[in-house]
Amino acid sequence: MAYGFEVRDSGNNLMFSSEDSTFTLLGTYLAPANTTVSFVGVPTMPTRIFTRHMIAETNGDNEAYVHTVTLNNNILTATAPSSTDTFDTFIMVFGK
Amino acid sequence: MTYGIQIKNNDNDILIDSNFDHYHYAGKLTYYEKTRVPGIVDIKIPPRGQRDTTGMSAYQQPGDIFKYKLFVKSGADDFPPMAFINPQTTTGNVFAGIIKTTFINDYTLGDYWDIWVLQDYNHIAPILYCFLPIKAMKEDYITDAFGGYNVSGLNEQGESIPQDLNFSGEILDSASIDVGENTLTVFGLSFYDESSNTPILPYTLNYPRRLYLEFSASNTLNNLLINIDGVNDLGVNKTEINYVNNTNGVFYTQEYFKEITRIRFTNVNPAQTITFKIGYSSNSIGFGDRYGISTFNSDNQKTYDSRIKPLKIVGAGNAVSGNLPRNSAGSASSFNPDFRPNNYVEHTATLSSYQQNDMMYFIPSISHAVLEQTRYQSGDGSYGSYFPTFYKYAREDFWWTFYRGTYRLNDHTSTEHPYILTSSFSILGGGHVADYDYDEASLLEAIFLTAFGAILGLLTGGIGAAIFFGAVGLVVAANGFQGVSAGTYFPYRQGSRNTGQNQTFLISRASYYD
Repeated sequence: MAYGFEVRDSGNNLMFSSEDSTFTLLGTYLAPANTTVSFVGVPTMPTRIFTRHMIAETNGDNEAYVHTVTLNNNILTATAPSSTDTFDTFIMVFGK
Repeated sequence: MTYGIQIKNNDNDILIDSNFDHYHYAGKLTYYEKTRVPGIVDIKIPPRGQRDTTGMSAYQQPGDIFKYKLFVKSGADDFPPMAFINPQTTTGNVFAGIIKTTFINDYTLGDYWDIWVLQDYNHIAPILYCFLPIKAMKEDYITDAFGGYNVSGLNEQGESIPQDLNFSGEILDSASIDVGENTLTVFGLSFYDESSNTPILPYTLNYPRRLYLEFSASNTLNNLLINIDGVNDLGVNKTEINYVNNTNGVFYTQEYFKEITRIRFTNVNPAQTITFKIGYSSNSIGFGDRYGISTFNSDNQKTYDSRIKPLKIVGAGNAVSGNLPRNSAGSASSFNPDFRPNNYVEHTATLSSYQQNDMMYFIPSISHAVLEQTRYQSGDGSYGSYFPTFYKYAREDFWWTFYRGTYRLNDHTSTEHPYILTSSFSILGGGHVADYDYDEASLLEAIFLTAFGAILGLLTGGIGAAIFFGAVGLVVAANGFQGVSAGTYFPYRQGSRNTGQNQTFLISRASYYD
């Protein structure tokens, strides 16, 4: 490595370096069932990604939609596709 | 950022930002329970005619649900784990996906995330590598005091399973106790310092340390309860509860004790002898590895610590699921319509590092789908030799299968070839119901009663899904469900939901954390 940084432990094992890639957690948001909601103040980074968790069990008695998500500057909008059959959706936003 | 630290690479990616929480290695999990959604079967057959009583289709096998627990700090429900699936089956077309991630408040064992993984039936269970922000981890003091550099994992009983089981602390003493049969007697046990022959309980330590216990029993222990009373590093009286179930093993307390006042044992097993060895860790809070880098946010919460193996990503992308697991359920000319998925969507990701059989992926499943198939049969005949009775029947069979979106990592074949994450589906549940209409008449009745044919009109037009929706509900109510919620697993007619939506996937390597 000609430049950058490395972090090593006392055993000289490389733990992390600027050659690694990673994502940092920018925020977590819970979109309630059957509701469209916007969250403001989402931190920005040059690259952002989000992922969604279904936090309830799907047993086939519900169409179990998850929210669609748009991320625009510092506003995250979670839209419920159905007003009756959208599950709670846990949204995690990462950045790097 | 007005203060703190931000580190970027030459792609302008932010690697560390002290304002934000970084995900760190929180443990390697094996499953604590395996189950499947039972098939929902209700076959009503006509007295004569097609009387085959076959159950689920041979190609309708529900996948295995593996359940995992990740213990976290009490109330830390704002930070779901990133659970990477490390497949243990790298040959064949085996798909797996995280289908549920739920926070559980458990006042006995402590709070944990319950993570369910659905995998195609009858393959080796995957291992989960989990990551959390430091502030959500079970232990506040992540500095490993046991000679390694990993944070301890926890099993389903909440027992500590350090990565490094080579105890490097000081053994104080060992002793054996005889425990009674089927009692809840509390046993006291005094350890003695061999050098001075003085009781060591209560025992004061120079620095707050984690207690170490080795145990071996003459029979398998069944939830032997060990209460450790003492004063922790903050000067607070604490009782730490541990359960042990094996014939031998070791564990470490989660608390850092600076005084141990009492150890109590509660046993419900048959009488047996248990030998304990007690000690404490060689290092205490802040006396672990002094090399590395940590960052803190403005609330003085630690956001990054290189000693806890920060998350490293070797590839990322977006994945969608195909519209349906297969274009249609296979023919129902037999009683085994084919529901095996054969629609796949491939997503490529160029990796910065790879090693075949070492890769793991994180992508919670959000998609699901339903396929259905119907088989209709009708006929007539007679029975009886001298005064024949004529009959007509119609029978309709209905199969349905409910899928969740799952994934697999394709084997890497060359350094030039990008890695591929393939989306498909695995069967979560389903069923098979059949119903019929039937009538019979003597020869004269058959000639004169026009109603004989009219009755069967119901079925000749098809029983139809509306009737079967009701039938499915009745079957479910009477069906036993092993560790999953009762349900129809038939939420809508053939179709899918959430399949067109991009879901981020991340790829890492298990060997970074082993």
